[in-house]
Amino acid sequence: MKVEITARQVLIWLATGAAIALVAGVLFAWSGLYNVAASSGHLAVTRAFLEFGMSSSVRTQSLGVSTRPLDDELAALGAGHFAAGCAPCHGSPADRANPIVRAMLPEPPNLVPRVGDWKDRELFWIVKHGIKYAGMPAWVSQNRDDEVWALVAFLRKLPLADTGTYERQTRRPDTDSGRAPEGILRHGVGTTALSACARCHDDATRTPVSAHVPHLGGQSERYLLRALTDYASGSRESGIMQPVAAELSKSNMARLASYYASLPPATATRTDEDAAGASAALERGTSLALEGRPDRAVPACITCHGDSASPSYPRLTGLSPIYLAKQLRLWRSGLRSETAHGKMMAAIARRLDEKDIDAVARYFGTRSRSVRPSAASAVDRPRGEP
Amino acid sequence: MSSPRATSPPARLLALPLTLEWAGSQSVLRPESAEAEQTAQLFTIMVAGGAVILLLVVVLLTLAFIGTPAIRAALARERLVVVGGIAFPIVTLGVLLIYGFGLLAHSSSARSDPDALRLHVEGELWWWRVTYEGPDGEKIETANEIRIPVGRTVIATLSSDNVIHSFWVPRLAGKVDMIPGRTNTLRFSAARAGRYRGQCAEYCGGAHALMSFVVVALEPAEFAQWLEAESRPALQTAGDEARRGARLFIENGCGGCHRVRGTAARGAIGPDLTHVGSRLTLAAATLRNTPDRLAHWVVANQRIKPDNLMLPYADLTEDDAAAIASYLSGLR
Repeated sequence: MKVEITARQVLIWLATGAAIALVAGVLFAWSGLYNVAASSGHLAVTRAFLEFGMSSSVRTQSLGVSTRPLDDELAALGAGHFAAGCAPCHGSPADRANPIVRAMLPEPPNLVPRVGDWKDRELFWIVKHGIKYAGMPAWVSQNRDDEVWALVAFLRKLPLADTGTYERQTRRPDTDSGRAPEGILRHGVGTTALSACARCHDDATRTPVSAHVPHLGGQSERYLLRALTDYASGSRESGIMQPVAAELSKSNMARLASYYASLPPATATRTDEDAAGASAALERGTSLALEGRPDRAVPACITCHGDSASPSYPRLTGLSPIYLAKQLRLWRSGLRSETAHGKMMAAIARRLDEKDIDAVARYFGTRSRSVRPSAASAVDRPRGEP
Repeated sequence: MSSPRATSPPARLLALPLTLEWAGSQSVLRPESAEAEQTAQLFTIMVAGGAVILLLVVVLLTLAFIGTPAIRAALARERLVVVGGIAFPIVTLGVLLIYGFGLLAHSSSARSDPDALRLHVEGELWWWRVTYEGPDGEKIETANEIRIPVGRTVIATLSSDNVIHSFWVPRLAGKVDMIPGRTNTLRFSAARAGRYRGQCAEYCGGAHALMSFVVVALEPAEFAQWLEAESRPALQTAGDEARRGARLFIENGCGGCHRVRGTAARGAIGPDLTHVGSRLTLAAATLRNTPDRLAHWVVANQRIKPDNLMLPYADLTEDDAAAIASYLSGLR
């Protein structure tokens, strides 16, 4: 007897098989026989397969990422965020992660020996997007690649960091000494609070840890409070600052704003004055800051950012040129135009070109502000004005 | 939404000429200067002549279809085509062209006239920068309002440094384009005192329709008095609220774009506000000039006139905006 199998019959068999498999799968899930316990771990083969899938996915998905040069200033910004945002789960050169975290499945890896397995673009992709089913969160703002790169820059240094270097880089608060038992038993000895501002910013004795971090001392209370409120609401985007602001209550924000307002303002950054084009850039920046560019509808910066301007606006004198230029570029790209004040600055930033941005950032960065506004009038007012 | 008196679209179209007539302050059909009179005259002649010619053509066409064989034979002669179809249009259009050139030459003549009032108008996005020259040659800047003395020739030079605008005061003069890189001249004079509305007549971007202005023709003595007041620095601010407004005006950076002569506000980007309180309108004749509207403009300018170059001061409190408006309205 000759058996003839038609295409139609094959299709029917396949469809029936698929339907049975689907029903069986649903029944298996419904039965609860599969054990989702983290305590039970994975079979070695399962584990190997999952890791194979994960690393393959990262390799392929990160193909489109274009890398950028990473420097120490970026790494210094990344260090502060690592200490509060990453170390609680991944541990650090200074201490291992808490046993609670290590009981996760999969356990967040200690990055010191592992970070070398990944390329820059792969690390970037993991930090920005997180990893499904592994508990690795995505970067809070999907629009701040610059911040993600800062973290990658720090991760690159991680394998070399010893405990002392790490503690210095992250300005780790000394929790082992100086705190009375009474204090410990009430408040604990946490080293990973996100809201430890001075881990990155200035305090009464130190300047910011990186040129990417703004000096906060001497800004007005109103401006600082608004910045924190905007970060907390997400209307100002930053994967680094949004988590910090979210941790602060309204009254804490107010107290911090008031404290920073009482600290001394930033002093000039030293720059390579001999560099080619430095003086031309400074001249361009000076003219923009003091006179603006009326033909392109750019008002003089100091009408709003000088010492006599409203406390709604930040004072720019002495702030890091790298930070200032970065912010202007964020405005130009439309990232800081959610808030009322952001919209104002966005309109002006869009009238500036690349050269203007670097020039004007250099102008403000290379100047110092005197502590008392009244004494600063001679330097910071437009020429010829009383 | 329909009211009992709502008219059908065709009826509304028929009423359009009437509407224009009612919008009297901006009607070419109600000229108030010799120049606009001539333009209106030319318009009347052309419309009347065109109507007569159209009528003639219709009659001849009808005869060509239904006339007696003799008439149709006469119409079919070649001479009719040569005379009526070639010679007549050449002569008619030639005369009109020469007449038009004459009008243009007169209104755009740059010849000096010692008695003429000279002023300069620049098209901005989207408003008008108006500059007078004082007796000692000093520049007196104002915006969106041109005051002129009745009967005296006005020679306006027109320019733009952004896009092409067109200066048009239907009842007095224009339209003449303001072209980047070029300065055009327009002569006109107002026969009677009054307010005449002007409008940018060349599409110049999003808020083109909101780029209007007002020409105010004053008796000569009144004009001299106004110009003298306009040339002075801003008045001393009186009253607590206005003084607070003056401080807020500087603190909030308004002076980065606006000038108030005699104060620290020395910006040259936006309109000169030294005597803004004495102007009839705000934002290029978009709003009537009242303190309330001025305060509203400061915080909502991007809603009123989208994409204008002024910053959106949306975060200013109502009190602060009112104080600034009180200060500016006092600058008369």
